[in-house]
Amino acid sequence: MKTILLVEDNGSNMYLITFILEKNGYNVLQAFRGEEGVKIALKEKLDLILMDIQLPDIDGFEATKRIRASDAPKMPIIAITSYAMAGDEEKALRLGFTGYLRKPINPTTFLQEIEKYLPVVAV
Amino acid sequence: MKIKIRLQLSAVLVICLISAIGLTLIFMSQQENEALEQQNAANEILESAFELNILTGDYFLHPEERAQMQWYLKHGSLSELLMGLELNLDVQSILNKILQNNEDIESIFSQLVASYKGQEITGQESEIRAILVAQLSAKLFDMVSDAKLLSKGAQESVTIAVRMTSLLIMIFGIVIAAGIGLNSFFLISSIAKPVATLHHGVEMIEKGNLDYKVGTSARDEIGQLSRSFDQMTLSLSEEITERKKAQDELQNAHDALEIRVAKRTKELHDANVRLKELDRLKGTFISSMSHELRTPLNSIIGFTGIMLQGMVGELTEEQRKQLTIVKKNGDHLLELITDVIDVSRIEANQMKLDIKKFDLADMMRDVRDSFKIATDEKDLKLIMKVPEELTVESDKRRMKQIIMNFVSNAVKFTDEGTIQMHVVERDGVVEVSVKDTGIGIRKEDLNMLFKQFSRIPEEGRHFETGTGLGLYVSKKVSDLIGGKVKVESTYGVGSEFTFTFPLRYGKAMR
Repeated sequence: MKTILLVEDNGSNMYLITFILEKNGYNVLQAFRGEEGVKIALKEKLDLILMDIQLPDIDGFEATKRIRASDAPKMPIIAITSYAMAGDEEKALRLGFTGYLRKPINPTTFLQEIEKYLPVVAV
Repeated sequence: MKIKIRLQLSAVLVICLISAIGLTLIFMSQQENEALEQQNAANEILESAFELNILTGDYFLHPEERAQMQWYLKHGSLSELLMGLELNLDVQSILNKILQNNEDIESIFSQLVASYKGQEITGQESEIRAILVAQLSAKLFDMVSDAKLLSKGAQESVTIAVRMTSLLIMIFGIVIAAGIGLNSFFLISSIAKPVATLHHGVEMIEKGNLDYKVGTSARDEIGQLSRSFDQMTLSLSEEITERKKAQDELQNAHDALEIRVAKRTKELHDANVRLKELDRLKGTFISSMSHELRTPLNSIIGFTGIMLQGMVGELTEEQRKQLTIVKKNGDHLLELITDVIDVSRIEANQMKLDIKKFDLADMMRDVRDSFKIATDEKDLKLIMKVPEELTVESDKRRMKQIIMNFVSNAVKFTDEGTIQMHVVERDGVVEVSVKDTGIGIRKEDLNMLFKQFSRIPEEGRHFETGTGLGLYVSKKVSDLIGGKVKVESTYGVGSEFTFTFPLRYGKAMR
């Protein structure tokens, strides 16, 4: 079972995304704050991280930078945000994100996108 | 005294002195003439006396009628000369004596003549005659000496006259020289000194000392000149004072203006700083609003979405219908928020472009695909003609927003028929057109199209959703990326929206 870390400060969205992922057979770890997310990312064995950009303590960019600074250079980190300004996507990719998803999420395309970033494991 | 008068006086003086010399010369020559006349008379008297003496001797020796006649003739001419003489009073006594002798000689000669009338010559008679002749000779010698006296006197008076003339000429000369010299001296000093003073005054004024007064009180022309000069200096000084005052006032006004300008500049600067801060706050406000409004909507749309997909469980027909309405309204609200945020960004100049290269043909296919369900539902034909590949350098998301807006409007207002999407590239200009067979737009409504919150009322179409911002945002975004939007429509037939833009952002369109 793939483990996904979800860093998201909004409870409703956390519940929604967790629901979709769990329904589709993913193990979800939750972090409501950036630092908490970094801590989990460094401790647990993960397959993918979904990271909100706007967070109460450190933002998604900073959290990603810290995770990348440790020993997780190849970890797929996907930005998931309604923070939609011109050049945001580019900035996110430049600062270490692997991908970029815009809210509101469409359940079908959302799952397709996630699968795109997960390493294929031979069964 | 005026210089003119002084000069005239000088001339008059010279004329007077020359006249005096002339008069003196005339007077002296007259004196000389008189002396000369006196000498001539004296000479004639002298000669006559000698001749009469000789004639007396002749008559004594030859007492004839002829000798007698000669004597009287001579004496007559002498008497005539003596009577005609007009001599100076100082020689009058000598003349009187000569006249007296003249009468005497005549009476003596008459006695001599009478002595020869007796015809008898006695010794006594001849003795008497000898005495008479001797007396006559004595008288004649007396006359000669008197004549010599006269001659001498004449010579003396000539000498005196010559001396006098020289003396007078000398004196007059000295007087003339002294007079002219003195007059010139006073004239020069009366001109030169005030001129020097005036010159000094001019120099003082040239140095800027306008309060300096030449102050010559002389009543001549130079005095007048210096007074005029002082008057001029005074006027000049007043004028300069006036000007200085005006200049000071101007300077003060200028300074005041400068201060005011500086104050205003500072105010403007402060206002600008405040405005910039306000602008920044506005930008921040827009981006937080965007985020804060979307977040709850994400949940609403997201949950309705998973419920409608049956992830949560089976739905009844009514539940599906109502959830569909929630989803539709949620989508509309999101669209509205997106448009409002875009409008705010555009109007706050906060809209940032993200320029990069992308395949427009690919994007067009995406657009077509996203409308497939909607067109299928309404049974509309969606035809697209695009090149196989067309690389464009611009803001992909904004461009897609505009084209999506066009297609979405076409789908919304077309009930049957076809929607055609065309892309043509010519000379670096791309033209994207979306043509429908919809309800069309009335001519009078065309200019309302690109205004904010404008929705053209149309009977029987109350249920159409729309923000009234779509085309307004499209127009503004098109302006930002250097493009143009255009519409052509026939009411009841259909509309064609065209969006033209440069192949590369920043290049001007011809």
